[in-house]
Amino acid sequence: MKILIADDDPVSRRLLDKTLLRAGYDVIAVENGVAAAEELCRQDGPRLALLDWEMPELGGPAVCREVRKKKDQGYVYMILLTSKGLKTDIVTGMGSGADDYLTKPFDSGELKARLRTGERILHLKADWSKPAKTCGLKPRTTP
Amino acid sequence: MNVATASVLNITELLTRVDDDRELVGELFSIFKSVFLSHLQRLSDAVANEVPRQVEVESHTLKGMLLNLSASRAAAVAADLETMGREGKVTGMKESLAEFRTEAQTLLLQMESVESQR
Repeated sequence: MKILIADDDPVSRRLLDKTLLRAGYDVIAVENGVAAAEELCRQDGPRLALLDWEMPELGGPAVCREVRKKKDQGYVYMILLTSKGLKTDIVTGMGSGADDYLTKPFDSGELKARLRTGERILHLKADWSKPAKTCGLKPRTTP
Repeated sequence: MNVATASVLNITELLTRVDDDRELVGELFSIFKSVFLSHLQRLSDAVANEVPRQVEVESHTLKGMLLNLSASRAAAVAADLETMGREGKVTGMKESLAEFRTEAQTLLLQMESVESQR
């Protein structure tokens, strides 16, 4: 599965890159938020993303807001990476449309577990958009 | 984070985080060393020119890198500088920067020592 890493810190980027390659992901690494938003807004772009909170030009929360504005693509599961520990920061980040957050320095086991959760959500979203033939149900549409 | 109780470089913790990949540790040290001096220079300039926002940004970046390398002591001092920058507190910044330089120097020596043992 394709995954995007966006982090301006080259140490963090390499660490994430290696960890995710080992875990079997197809990694796309970028070093700023603008490039991240471009990748994620592409029709065939990654559907999983790890976004550093603070990046030049466009930070992680701003990338989340950009991606959520686009309605014509599949759902993107986005995790914010932060070394901020304040609850108010976390609330702000999640309010921007992020699905989850992870505190730096990350633990590789926790990172992989959270990504598996993301994959499950993406699979559920994909299943939900298919017609539910087996029990004769139709996907609910919002009014 | 507490500077007094933090370790300069917790290599055991770092190796655990990278699944005991010593080659990757060497690579991470090398990446860090290649960008560290330019960040330190920008931080020093920001402190000298009393630009709190820039102090906050540079300290935050350095803190993130140092935490990833399990370099808790230097990360703790960077965190103090970041807080000072965020709060616009100029008093004490020069002293904290001097402390950061000392911690960073010790860290770089430890990194060399670890690398020489590979």
